[in-house]
This record gives sequence, C-alpha cells and structure tokens, in this order.
Amino acid sequence: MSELYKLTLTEAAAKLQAREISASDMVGDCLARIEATEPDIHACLTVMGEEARAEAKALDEKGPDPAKPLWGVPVALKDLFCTKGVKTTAASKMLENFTPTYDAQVVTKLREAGAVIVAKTNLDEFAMGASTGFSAFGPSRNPWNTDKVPGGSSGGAAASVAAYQTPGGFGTDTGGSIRQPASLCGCVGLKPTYGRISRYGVMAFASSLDQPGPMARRVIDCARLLKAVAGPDARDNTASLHPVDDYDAVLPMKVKGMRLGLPKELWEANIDPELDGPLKAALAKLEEAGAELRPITIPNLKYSVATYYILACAEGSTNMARFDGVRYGHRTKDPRDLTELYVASRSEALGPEVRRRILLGTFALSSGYYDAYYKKAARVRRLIRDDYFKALEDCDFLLTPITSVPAWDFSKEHDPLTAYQLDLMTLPVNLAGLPGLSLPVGRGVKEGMPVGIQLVGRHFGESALFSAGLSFEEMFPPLL
Amino acid sequence: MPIDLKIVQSTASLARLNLAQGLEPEQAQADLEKLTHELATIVGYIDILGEADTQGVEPLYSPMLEAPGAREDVVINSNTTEEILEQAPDRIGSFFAVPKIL
Amino acid sequence: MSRMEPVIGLEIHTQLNTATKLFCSCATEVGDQPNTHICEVCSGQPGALPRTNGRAVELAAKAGLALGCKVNERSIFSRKNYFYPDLPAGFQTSQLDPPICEGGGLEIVDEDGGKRFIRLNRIHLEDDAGKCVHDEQRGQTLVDLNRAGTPLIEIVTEPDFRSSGEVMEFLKKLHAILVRLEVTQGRLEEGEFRCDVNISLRPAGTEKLGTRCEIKNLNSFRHAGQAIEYEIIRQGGLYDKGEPVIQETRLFDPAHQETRALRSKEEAHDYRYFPQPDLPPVVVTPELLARLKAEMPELPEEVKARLLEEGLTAEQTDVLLDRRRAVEYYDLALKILNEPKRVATLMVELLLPACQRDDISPMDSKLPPEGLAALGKLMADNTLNRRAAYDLFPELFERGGDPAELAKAKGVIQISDAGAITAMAEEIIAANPDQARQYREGQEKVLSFFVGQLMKRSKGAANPKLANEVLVKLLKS
Repeated sequence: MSELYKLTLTEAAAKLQAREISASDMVGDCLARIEATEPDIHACLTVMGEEARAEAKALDEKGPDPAKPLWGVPVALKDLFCTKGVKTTAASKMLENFTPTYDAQVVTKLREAGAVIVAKTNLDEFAMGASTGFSAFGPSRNPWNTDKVPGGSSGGAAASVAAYQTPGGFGTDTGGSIRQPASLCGCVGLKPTYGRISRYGVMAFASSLDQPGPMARRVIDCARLLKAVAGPDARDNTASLHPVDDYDAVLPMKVKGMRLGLPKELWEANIDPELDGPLKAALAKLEEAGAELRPITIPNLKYSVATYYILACAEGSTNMARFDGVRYGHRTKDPRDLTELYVASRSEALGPEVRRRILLGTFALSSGYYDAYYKKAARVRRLIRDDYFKALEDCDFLLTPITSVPAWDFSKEHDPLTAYQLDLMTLPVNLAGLPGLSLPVGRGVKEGMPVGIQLVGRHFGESALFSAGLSFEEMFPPLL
Repeated sequence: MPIDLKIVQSTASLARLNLAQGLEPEQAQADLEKLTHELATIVGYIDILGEADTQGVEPLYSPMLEAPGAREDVVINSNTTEEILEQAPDRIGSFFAVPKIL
Repeated sequence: MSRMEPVIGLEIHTQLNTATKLFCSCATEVGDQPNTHICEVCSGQPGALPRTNGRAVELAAKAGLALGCKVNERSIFSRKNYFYPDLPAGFQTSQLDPPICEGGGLEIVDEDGGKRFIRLNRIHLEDDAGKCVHDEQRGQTLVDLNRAGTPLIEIVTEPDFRSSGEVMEFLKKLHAILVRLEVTQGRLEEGEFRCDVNISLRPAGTEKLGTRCEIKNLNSFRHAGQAIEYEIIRQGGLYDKGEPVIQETRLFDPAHQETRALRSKEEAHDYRYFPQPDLPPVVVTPELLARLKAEMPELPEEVKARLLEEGLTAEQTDVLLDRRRAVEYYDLALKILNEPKRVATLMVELLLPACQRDDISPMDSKLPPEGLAALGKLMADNTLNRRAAYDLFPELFERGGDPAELAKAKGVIQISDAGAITAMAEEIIAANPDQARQYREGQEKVLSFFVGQLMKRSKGAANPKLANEVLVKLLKS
C-alpha cells in the first residue's frame, strides 16, 4: 500500500489494529515522508529513525493489541518533552547535547498506548516565541508556503502534521503555542484544561500556564491522542484527578441552538482583511445553521497581555535558573570562577528572546517591584479568570479568532511588544486555565493561507469541545 | 516605572546574565540600549495594569481548582546516578565539579 | 556608660524524620557515596516536578501543636531564588506567607530559677541544599546532592533571649520535645538540629534594637552558648570603643572560641520569593489536626512527672528521657510487668548500657520489652535471684529468646524449696564447725560465709532470702 502517510491518525490506527498494515510499514512510510520533506520544512530537530523502526518491529512481532488504541501509530513530539536516552534540546544551545535520564509522562503514556515516537520537533527556544524563529537551530517553514512561518512555539509539530510527516503529535501551549501554529498550518490543535495532562518531563516555561496538548489533521484524532495521555500522575502535583472521558467516542453536537459567545473585545480587534472575510463567513454559516451567536464582553480582557507577560516571564525566569552549567547543558570554556561559570554559560547559550523574558520576569519579581507587577498581575488574573467563567455560564462555548494576522513572511520581524500583543486571542484562555480548540474554517482571501477559529470550553469540558469540533468539521471541511 | 540602563544591568546580574557576552564594546553598548528601549516599551505597556481595580481581589497564582493529595513517604530508588552524572560538564568521581568557591 | 543587654533570637533548622525527601521519593539516608540518593527531581533536571511528602507536612504540624502554634489549614510553598552549586533548581522551596505554623512558644527556666516564656514567630517547611566540598588540591569545588531536598522545618523565635544560658536551656528543651515527638531524629553530629543566632546589644532598659549579627550553623548547644558569649564581648567592645557593629553573617570557630565574619563578595541578596506554581497549597485539614492531637505523645516534662510519680529515681528518669525510645520501651514493658522500679532498674543497669555500646535504640534490641518484663517477672516471683538474672542478661541481649527457657536450660532456676535448702545448710554447718561456733559466740558476720557457701553449693540458684533465714534458724538452734 502506498502513501500511508496520508492516512489520518484514526484511519491509520484502525488499519493497524486490523492488521491491514504493519507498524513497520506505517512508521517506515512516515520516516520516508520526513526524509523527503525535511529539506523544505525543517520541522524536526531529531528524527528517531532507528529507534522508531526497532519499536515498530517489536510491535509487529507481538501483533496488534486492542488495549493499545494507538498501536503502531507514528507521532511527533515537540522537543520540549524529555525522552530518556534521546537528545532533548528545547531548541536551545544550552541543551544542544543534552540527553534526559527519564521519560516525560506523555511519552510513557503514548508508549503504553502503542504509539511510536518518530521525531522531536522544532520550537522557539524553551517555547518562548510564536514562529519557531527563536529556535537556536533555525526556523521551521510552513508547508502551505515555505516563505511563511508555521507559527509557534509548537511550529515544528504543526508543520510536521501539515506536511503529512506524521498523522499527529504533541505540542505545549503556554499562551497559544499549540492553537496558533495549528491554525497557521491548517491543523487541529487542543490546549486542554490546565491539569488535564501531566506536565512531568515537559521542560517548563511558565508552570501555572503550560499545558501539553495534541495536534492532528482531524478533531477525532486529537480526541484519541488526548484520551491516551490524560489523567493524574503521581509525579505531577498539578495533574488533575478529574475523570478522563471517552473523548474519542463523542458524537457531533447539534449546531442548532448551540450558544456561542463572541467576545466583542476580540472580534472588534484589528483583524487582517486576509482573515476577516473567512472568519465573518464562518460566523454567517454558523448562524444560518441555527447557532445562537451572542456578543459578549470580557471586561478585563484588555489587561490580559500585560498580565500574561508578567506572570509567564516571572515563572519562566526562575524555571530557567536551573540552566546554570553546573549539572548539565552548556558550560563556558575554562571559567575563572563560579560567577563566570554562571554568567558566561548562560549568556553564551540562551538566545535573545529567552534572555529578554528572563530579564522581564526577574524585574517583575525583584524587590520593590513585586507588588506593583507580579502580585498585581496575579490579582488581575483572577478578574480575567472570573470573566471567562462567568461568560461560560450563559454560553456553551466562546468563539474567537486565533490570531489577527495570517502566517507571515520570514522577512517580517515583529518588535517584541507587537509580537506579544499578537497572542491576545489565545493567552487569556491559559490565564483562566480553560480548554481551547483550534480548527480551520477556511483560507485567506488573497494568499490562501489557512484560517483558524477557536472554541473555548468550560473547565474540563473537553468532551463538549470535541463534540462541537466534529460538527464544525462537517461545516468547514478539513484543509488537510 | 521607567526602565533604564542601570535597572537592566542590575536585573541581568541578578539573573546571572552578561548582556555584553562575546560582543565588542560598541556593539554591546548598542545592544544594551536597544534592549533597554524594548524592555522600557514593554513595561510601559504593562503599566496599564495600574488601571485595573483590584481592591479586595485575592491574587490567583494557579488555575488549579483541586489538587491530588500529598505523596506517601515511601522510598523509590531511581538508580540514575551515573546517567545524571554523565550529563555533567565536569565531574570528579561521583561529584559534580565547579571552579573552587572562594 | 549603662550596662549593655544582649537581645537574641534563634532560627532552628531541624531535619524531619522521614524516609524520603520533601519533594521526591529519594531516601534521606546520610553517609553514603556522593550523589547516590538523587533523581531527576532533586538534581534539578529539566522538566522534573516536585511532589510534597505528606509525612513531612504531618511532622511539621505536630511540632506546631506541641509548641502551641496556630497550625494553618492552608499554607503555601514559595520559591526562594538564588544561584549556588548546591541548589540544583536555582531556587529553594520554602514558605514565606503564610507558613504552616504561626505563634506559639516554650517556657524555660532561667539562671535565677525564674520562668520565662520564649515566643515563636513561625515554623515553616523547606528543603535542604546539597553539600559542597572544597578540593584545595585540585582548586575545585565538588558538589554532592544526597542531602538536596531533605525536609526541614525552620523554627523562628522572637528576639526574647537575654543570655546564652537561656538559649542553651531553650535548645535542650526544644530538642527533647522534637525528639520525643519523633519529628526529628535530632542527631546533632549529622546536623539534623542546627541553629542560627541573631544577636545585638542595646543599653539595658531601652527598647530600640541595635545592629545585629547572625551567627550561622551552630550544631551543638555548647557552641551556641560559647558563640553568644564571644559575640557579647566582641560587640560590647565595639560599643565601648564607639565603633559601629556591622550587620553581617559570622561563623563560630570552636577551635579558637571566636566568631569570624563570613567573607562575602556577593551583592545584596534579592531572593525574589513568589508562590511556587508547581505545588498546590499545603493543607492540614481539621480531621488531620484532630488525629495528630490524639496521637500526640506525652511531652518530656509530662513524662518526667509521671515517671517520678511511678516511683523512679530522678537519675533513672533522666536516663530514660535521654535515650531515644527508652520511655516507649519502658511503657511497653510495664504493660506486662507493672513494677516500674524493677523495669527501670533493669533498663538503666543492663539494657541501656548495652544498647549504647551497640549504638542501637532499645526498641531495636533483640530483647523486646516483653522479654525484659518476663525477666523481671522471674525475679519478682522468686524464680530467679538477682545474680542469676543479671548473668542471663548478656545472652538474652545478644540472642533474644525466652528468659524462663534460658534459665531452665542453664539450671539457674532459684531454689525456694525450704527442704532442699535446709538439707544443704545442715551439711554446710556440719562441715564447718569452727565457723558455726564463732557465729554462736556472737560473730554474726560469719553468716555471710555460710550464705556464700550455700550459694556456691547451689550454683547460685538458692533463694538468698530463704537461705539467710534457714541458716540463721539452724545456727541459732
């Protein structure tokens, strides 16, 4: 059978389980596809060809197992998930030669479900960025148009899925890092409720905002991936005990009567005409199908970018303190003393955006500024969270754009503040700890780049999100 | 709060960063000024938080609504000493090694 | 110039008595090869997350209960940020606001016999750092993370002390309480109970505090006292000369009996405390608190009063209180043989010296409380005499076993049969007519000669009291 790589994750899983195809064939085909597309896309930092082939072979020897819903399915992982014995770099020079001594919980769970990890994908260094442009190992490219960014920080995973290298993968989302690249590359991506998936073994950017999540070409594929990895973890004190639903068993939700809250602050923002048309068309189509579109207001939304960057950078600045050149990672050559070891190692190996955020976060926590910045932001966070929870009392979901701009050209550089402001649509969801699903609704007016939309669900409302996502998918055919 | 060169430099030192690392003095100065300007712009924008009415609002440090209980006090030996030490840039026996602390 | 008065406050770091570290499942054992008890969490690997040890929380709450603190139902961990090679994550996980316990205090008796109440400010949970060893020869510092992540409580007092004597008294009393509660093993030589002293001087009778110095890491009560004495003289000398006291951290050098300023090129610390986002609040539910209260053992003072009331001597009481788990052993033995004095005597004279020699707690010896009680019972009902019982002890301590069986096997069961003793006594008197005559002529001390002979003949098994009686009766007849 040829072109196995084109199968969706759910199709592939079914064929594998039915022994129509072998794990080795499926994995081999994806590896070949990776080899063919990498020169253009650069989605991967490490391709685990040998390991993946060996794992597939071992699976084939034992045969399919209905208890392993992802048996033989190749997946890609953002290179922020620790993989025991396999280099994990966070796209940083700091960890260029770092090999973790343990597996992230997501990795363990994926393997238990029978999945085969084939690649570690590119990202902005330590997940700080929105284009993969801050990867120390060069940016990834958007498979739709290689002059354009794939988004970020999980841009490598999105590009890999969009380039049919893998049927699905995992990224992490601190302020939009799954949903934005999924949207820019025409994939489906889910940022689950905070605590839905264990963060154990995911190199931390901002501990109270980070959440791993699936990316794929279909809603149901994301549901399957989430089901496999969700749940409590004895090693993560923030992983929730909330029951894990049969996410992959949900049925499409009736659009008629679906109450969709449309935050004015986001819909009235300055949205690029390239996106504006397709987004408005999507709204019209939903209304026509009987959805109740309710303009709502999120009064404290205007503070969300400021709040987010204070909190994320504050947490990030101290999460980055362990990268000190003492126990692992880059160490400067022949340091004279301890101070030089610290300062030179860190300054040589941490990139400009990481340094900028460390500085901002350190400042926000430092003596004299803590109350005005960090603590103030934490108070405003509660207001924003409460706004979102309140909005969701009267609506089934909130519906918002993902970005105000389509995938941009590599040549275009945003100044830091502008770049931060581009996260406006996605980051409040992280502040509130809610789940957000990103899925395509059309293509740009002139350039034809994918256009995505975001459904925000209730706390642990992933099943409902997938259910609504399935009916959206019926109305807005997948782009991939 | 206006951000100036001095604050940027003292913050960098707190974070064990040298913003001039590997740069010629002129370049270093130019970069530092650019960075200071960027940070000042960002912090200037962030000062919008001052407008938010947070009187009587408790800070929210985590969106967690419930958390699993504490861990049981039972030893698990990970036996990863050698793997962990193998990552060390410098080691002596089974110690991590750094330049002598005065 | 008016008399200067010292104002002293303490910060005591106590290692909690847990099997595992505060945030990971590595063992807290000491004395192993460097970096053997480490994992991704306590060595600060990327992606690793902490998970709170429930027992550590309970022990901290227990300490708070015993010291009269308010135990907070919810407290939070905070990150204390600084760079040092023994601090793998780049921050220590501690508690700032609120800590697990607040307020409370402890009453001590000062030098003049008066009672003083020393107020506590707080008790908080935190993890310990690793250890740096300085290798002079190589010019390198070596880092061992075995200790990194070990659970501690820091007990902070108000500046209520006015003399080194009060400090030493307080430390001893606090140590005894925490050891009794098994909150800590309290091994001073392992640094499991160490204290920092904050001390300043001010003219007696005034309120304003002077500039203080902090003397760090004192791990013996005596050193704490000596360091304070030195510091009082040193700071007093500065005031006399009109020189300022510099606020600084000092270390005590026991060899030279002086404190020395820690060389510090570091810039002023800015720890940037903030709530640790990886950890949920520390919760002590009312149910847990009630259980801890119910489980609370008697405190040393209470135990002391009880033991004295049970008829033990002051010396015996002190010894039992001083040895780890000795009172527990005593209480268990008493459940079988309700003769406090006998049990205490056996423990103080036989068991505890042997345990000390082998460096074990009595609870870990091969002779369990039931065994010791059984041995005491054999003495009480005259099955064994004292000498036989003491002769059996070493073997029981080494190998354990049933004292009655052993006594039977060794043939040392006491002969309390008057007929048998009379028969032996008659033979002995007949064989020693001279001594018998001396006794009858009034030399009563010759009796001990006959007792000795009789004990010898009975291989030590004769009931000494009965032997006495029988001999006196026969000799006088």
